[in-house]
Amino acid sequence: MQTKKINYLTEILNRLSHYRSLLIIMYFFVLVIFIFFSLIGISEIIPDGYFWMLNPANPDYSELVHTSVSEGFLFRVIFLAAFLGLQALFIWGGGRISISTAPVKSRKLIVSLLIISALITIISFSVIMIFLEFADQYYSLMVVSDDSNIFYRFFQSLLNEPEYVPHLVVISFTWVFWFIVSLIYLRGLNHFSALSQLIKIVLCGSWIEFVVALPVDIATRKRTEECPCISGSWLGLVFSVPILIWTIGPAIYFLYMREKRLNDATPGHARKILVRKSYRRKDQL
Amino acid sequence: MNSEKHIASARIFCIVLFIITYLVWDFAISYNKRMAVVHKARQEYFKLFLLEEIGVDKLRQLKGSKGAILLENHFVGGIGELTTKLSKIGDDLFLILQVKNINRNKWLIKLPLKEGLRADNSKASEELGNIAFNLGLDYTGEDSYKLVFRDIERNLLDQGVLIPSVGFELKSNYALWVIAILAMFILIIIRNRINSAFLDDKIGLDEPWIALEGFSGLERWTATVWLIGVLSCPWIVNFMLTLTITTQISVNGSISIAYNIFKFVVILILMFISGRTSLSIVSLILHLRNIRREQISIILEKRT
Repeated sequence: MQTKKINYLTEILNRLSHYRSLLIIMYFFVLVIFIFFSLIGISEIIPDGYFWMLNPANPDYSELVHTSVSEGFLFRVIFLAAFLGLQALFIWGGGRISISTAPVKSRKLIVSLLIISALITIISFSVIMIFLEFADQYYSLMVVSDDSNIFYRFFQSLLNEPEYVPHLVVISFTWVFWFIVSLIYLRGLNHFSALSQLIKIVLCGSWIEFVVALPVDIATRKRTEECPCISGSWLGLVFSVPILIWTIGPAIYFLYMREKRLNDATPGHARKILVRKSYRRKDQL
Repeated sequence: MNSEKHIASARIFCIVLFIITYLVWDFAISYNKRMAVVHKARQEYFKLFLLEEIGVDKLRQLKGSKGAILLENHFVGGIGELTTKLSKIGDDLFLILQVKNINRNKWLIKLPLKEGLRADNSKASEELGNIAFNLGLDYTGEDSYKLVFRDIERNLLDQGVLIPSVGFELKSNYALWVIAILAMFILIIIRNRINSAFLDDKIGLDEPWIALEGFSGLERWTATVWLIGVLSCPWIVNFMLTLTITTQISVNGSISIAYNIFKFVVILILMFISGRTSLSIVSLILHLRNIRREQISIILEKRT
């Protein structure tokens, strides 16, 4: 007889809370690998392994053009600093995390909302790119010439060529759109719930994006090409994986916060867990 | 309320879900391999079509994009509708053959211009013959390439998926859609059954299920594997669905954008609903498991 309806994640979160120390160790391990790959150039290593998995018999993949570690090193360092900095800003940037149940003021959420809406904007555009690849339209719509696609040119000449202003306007509008949607969605929630909801949305979005991008890329990738860049699904993978890793950090932090809140809200919480664990050992249940 | 029956039903549906996931995996891999052969056969067919329709002499004269323009909007009636087009994608020129109603199929294929305009396309006939031979089709060199191609397509595309014991055959184009939607409904049913088990005081204690009772040792690991299975099944099914539909589009060509948008949106919706439902199932099973553990502890305490 279930007295109250349980949330669809409650028990999973409880279970994850039990293993939170293990989770944080695993996350740091992933983070270290991510930082290492980012510094030496992830695009050099992943395509090699990825292509080998797709077609181990084809020796052409080993002939991928490799750049030196020093090339673009500064950009990679800036990327990593932004990656870690944004995580910290998301958690603390909007003000101190309060355990009050009162609805949070919007201004306290602004920095977090700006970051999350930017991530949702990236996910939205990535999903469009994946769709174009899925529908076999990416190449004809996006590729300007053999060696440069529209994104490459866009980022290359963002500041120099005024023809890309409409692109910037569209991106800005999408960003503002998601900012407003998130703001409306979070009305009436307290600070902790609001940030948890935001992380849940991005985690879910980036995971779905990854699960769609991977099969699309496997199905459409030409087994003989040497560059992994000009493909909508590849862009989807390139964006979804860092966002996924980024999101897991704050998610683990909120797992700790959740446990703390539960402990504060129910004084016997910690004791209850301790008793249950002791009892289990005793009876082998 | 008879909670034992609900638990038993949930358990059986879970097993059905695992079997369906395995079938999807197996079917998607073999279907993708078949589609790769279809793609190759169509490319060879296109080369032979150019050779027959345009002729060797004319193909020799046609050079570069100027020559290809002569092929634009080349229409052949009678046997179906075939239209050739020229398209510039990036820096490359492609010849496009759009086919309607040949062997009841509709498809579109792109061929790099240089390859399409090669005067010597005799290898294409040989390739088509090899494909037919590998499929075990009776083929003599004198048969028309159209006939051989028709047999290849029929052999590869008309294979359905037979549902055991029912004798009903699903068309392979739609089989994965049906199975993915079925998997989603199975997940919803499982969730409903487990939810119903809570309505009874006994919470199905008399019905054994390792996912609910594996508290220690290997039983605990088996229960964990079971739960991971429930969590991952919808993702595997939808992953395979996406892989297959993308292969279908890249082999058959993108004929209708609106239809492709529809397919893509349905895949996203299926992923979201199935993924979320599987999460809630696992959450409910864990909740039920905790209650059961407490009840078993009480029973053991009373005994001692």
